[in-house]
Amino acid sequence: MELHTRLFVISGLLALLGAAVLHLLTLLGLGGLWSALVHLMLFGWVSMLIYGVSYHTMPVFSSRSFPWPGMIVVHWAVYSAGLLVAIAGLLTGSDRTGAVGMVLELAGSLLFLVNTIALFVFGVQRGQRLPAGAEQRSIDRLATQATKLASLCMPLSLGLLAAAEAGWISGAWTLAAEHLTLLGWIMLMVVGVACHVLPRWTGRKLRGPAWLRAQLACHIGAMTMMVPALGFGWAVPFAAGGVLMALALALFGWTIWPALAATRQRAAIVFVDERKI
Amino acid sequence: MSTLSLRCIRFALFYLACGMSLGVVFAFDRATGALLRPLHAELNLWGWLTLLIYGMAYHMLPRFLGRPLRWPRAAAWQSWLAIGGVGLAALGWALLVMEAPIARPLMGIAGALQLMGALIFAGLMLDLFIDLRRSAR
Repeated sequence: MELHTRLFVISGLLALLGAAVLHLLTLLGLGGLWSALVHLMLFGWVSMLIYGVSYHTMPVFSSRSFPWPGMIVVHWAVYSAGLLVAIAGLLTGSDRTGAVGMVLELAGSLLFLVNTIALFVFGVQRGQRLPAGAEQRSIDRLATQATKLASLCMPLSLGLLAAAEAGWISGAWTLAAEHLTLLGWIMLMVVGVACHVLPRWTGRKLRGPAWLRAQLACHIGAMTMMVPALGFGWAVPFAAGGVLMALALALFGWTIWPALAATRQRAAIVFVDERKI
Repeated sequence: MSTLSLRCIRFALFYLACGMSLGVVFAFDRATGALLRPLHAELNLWGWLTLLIYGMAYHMLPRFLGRPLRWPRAAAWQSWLAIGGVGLAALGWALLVMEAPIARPLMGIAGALQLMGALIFAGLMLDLFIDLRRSAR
């Protein structure tokens, strides 16, 4: 495993521990920690893990190598610094510090986009792509669209958060941005990665690409209703988006369930060449 | 995929269904939404996302690093601590809205269980990364 993946995963674990402490204090009734806790969970623990796993798996699935690995370490450094500053701002109640931290996080998330595009445009091809049947190739294409869209949602949500923190837009957009992070950046990434890896890990097919297409249509439709509705305070589009999102997540469960339901524990852990994972 | 990973992922999906259902209810009833927002966040952040990552990490990281977990039984305990912690915390948030006196102590226990789960998970993962066994050889 490359250094940059280790850096992101270890940072994510540290964020998890910090978040677990804030969570315990919140559950015990200590106030004023909620924003920092949610931010540390979404942008620390979960996002660091997504970055780490993406930097590990994207070269495997694209059969390419990152052209500028040093830029990934720069991404980690900028994003981690931004996270620390943002959390400090949220804990101390300093809006300016919080906004500065979120701008740094935004810069880090844009570096992720740069690194991803660089992989596909300038990355050196290293052998054949992973083998897959026609149906799985179609699922892979849709899953890649989901992860690309997820990568765009992250800078957008951080931009909204920073603008709300700086007072340029209403505070209601903070909740909208948190939902965009969860439903756009994280959930679309989960959908995309799950559809790539679950059939390969379990050896079982997912349901057909039509189900995934329907899932993505509902998911994206729901997001485009819910996020502006939260920001502008529109009740009806938010309710319609919530119902559509519930349908999207039910479709996700339905699509991946054959891979999850049919597997049983093996007698011993089986290792495969990581280039084939 | 191991029982451990599947257990975490299945409970993650269960908590997602609960968290999403609450979200849909909030869409129609904003007053309830304002009251139960922490419960919604608990189910989605600690129930869905965190359990999903635990499940995926137990599957992926040993394979990415080419070595098994050193303490698989601790991992099994960790998963139950995390799953039970989310359930207790969710119950605590609901009881808090009903102003039940047992709510805070229950939430404290839940938070402690989840913190213990996070510490065990971080320890297991850091052990994989640092690999003291290989360093000793």
